[in-house]
Amino acid sequence: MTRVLYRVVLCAGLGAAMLAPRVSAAQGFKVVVNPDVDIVDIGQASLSSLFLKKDRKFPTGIEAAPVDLAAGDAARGAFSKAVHGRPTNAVVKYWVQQVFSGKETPPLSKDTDEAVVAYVKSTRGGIGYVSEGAATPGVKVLKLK
Amino acid sequence: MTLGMATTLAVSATSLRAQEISDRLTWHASLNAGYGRSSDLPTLGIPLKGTSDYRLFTLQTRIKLSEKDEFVAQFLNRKFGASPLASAIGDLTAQWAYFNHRFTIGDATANIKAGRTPLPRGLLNEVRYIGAVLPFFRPSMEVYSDAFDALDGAVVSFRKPLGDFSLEAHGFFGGSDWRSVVTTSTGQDVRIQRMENYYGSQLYLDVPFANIRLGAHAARMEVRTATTKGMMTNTFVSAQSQFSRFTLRAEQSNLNGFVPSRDNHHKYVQAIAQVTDRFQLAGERTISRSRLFFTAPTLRAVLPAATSTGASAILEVAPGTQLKFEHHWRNGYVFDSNVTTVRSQIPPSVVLAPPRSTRYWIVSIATTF
Repeated sequence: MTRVLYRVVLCAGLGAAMLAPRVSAAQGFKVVVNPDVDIVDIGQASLSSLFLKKDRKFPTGIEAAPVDLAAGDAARGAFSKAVHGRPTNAVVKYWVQQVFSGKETPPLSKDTDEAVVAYVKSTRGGIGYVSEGAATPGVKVLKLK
Repeated sequence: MTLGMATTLAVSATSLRAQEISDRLTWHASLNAGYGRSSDLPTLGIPLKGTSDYRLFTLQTRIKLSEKDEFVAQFLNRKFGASPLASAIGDLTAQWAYFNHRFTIGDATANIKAGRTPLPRGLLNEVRYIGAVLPFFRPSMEVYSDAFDALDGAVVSFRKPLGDFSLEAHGFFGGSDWRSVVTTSTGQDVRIQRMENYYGSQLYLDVPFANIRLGAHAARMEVRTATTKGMMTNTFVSAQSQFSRFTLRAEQSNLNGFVPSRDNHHKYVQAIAQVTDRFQLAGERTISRSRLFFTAPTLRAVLPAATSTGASAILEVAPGTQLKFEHHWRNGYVFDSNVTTVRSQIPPSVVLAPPRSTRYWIVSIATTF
């Protein structure tokens, strides 16, 4: 069994080296945050942790209030692949697993970019993402490290 | 104040309270229902002639009591066809009913659950009935068995970031029901037992590449029946990785104890490939090794390894809804009808019967909302 576990970990490691998510310039989304959150950039792993509720706070100590776009949205698809390193249906499955294991419930979900921006603007610790061309009045666009 | 005004105020207050409750209440449900048929020997409740009485339905409600407190209840309807365990398992059970309080300690998030809670044990124990997150109808039966699905007691959990890694630790104490079909030297035995003074821990380490998750579990418990009391230990090691379109999983469970004596080692490996966005293929191989115990203490025997191999095709027919077709090949000594395990037991030797085999398939639908 130890050998089997070793192989699983080895395969996964090799796969990861080749296939780890990369956030490119043409990523198809931009990350927006409430202006009161005093950060200008965020790493991919930290961002993923906030949206998967593995971390609940920003480095500044403010409690994060993440908001997702609906599961079929193209920007959500791009965000899921670039930030979580898996397709949206795998992320949805992750949330089913969390809910039915008595753990967390998924972030709020909004249908449009405008609704995400409005939520982030009006919510302390609000963080979301919108499609690349969306207007973002009243919120701060975060740079991805 | 007139009677009309008072009535209007009372109705408004009631509807406000109802609105407040509905804002704090969420519902989730999961259905896993199928039709199965086996070929040579009935197994896992699946008879030779087939059964459609094969279903897992869960209904979960969460009431948010405050930002940090909630009450969670989950009801389970479980039907496993012609399983010998049917008489030992209720049609509808309160699988969970617990109070959950969240808090933080430094940069660690923590929570305490009290009541009838999920038991953190391996990668899939808490979602063992949720078909939509499983590549087969159920997790490996040998490894997860029909026990350990809930704990009457308390679970304290911590999650702490360690750089890019993340550590999750659970400690628990309480009791749990245990219903199982076990192989003895005279055949199969349905056992209904209660585990008390059950304590242990589960650790998970999340590695920041390939979504690797490693787990280790250790627990010790008293096993009680109407006439006996014994001790048992359970250890569980797990590894999982999700990268690109692949998920790999491997787990091993060891059960050791006395009264009744047990020495069981079960393990499985599982691979899932996301072929297209809506289509997956999965394979699984389980290997079980069990020691047979006899009344005469000089007699000892280890059963030949029992194996179960499965393959499944999973089609996502709608968001969150899957249609699965799975086929399994299973051999060993644990089936729904008695099979001979021991040909003769004349001290100091034991002659074992050869293992038997069967095949079965299940077509099922799994959905959640």
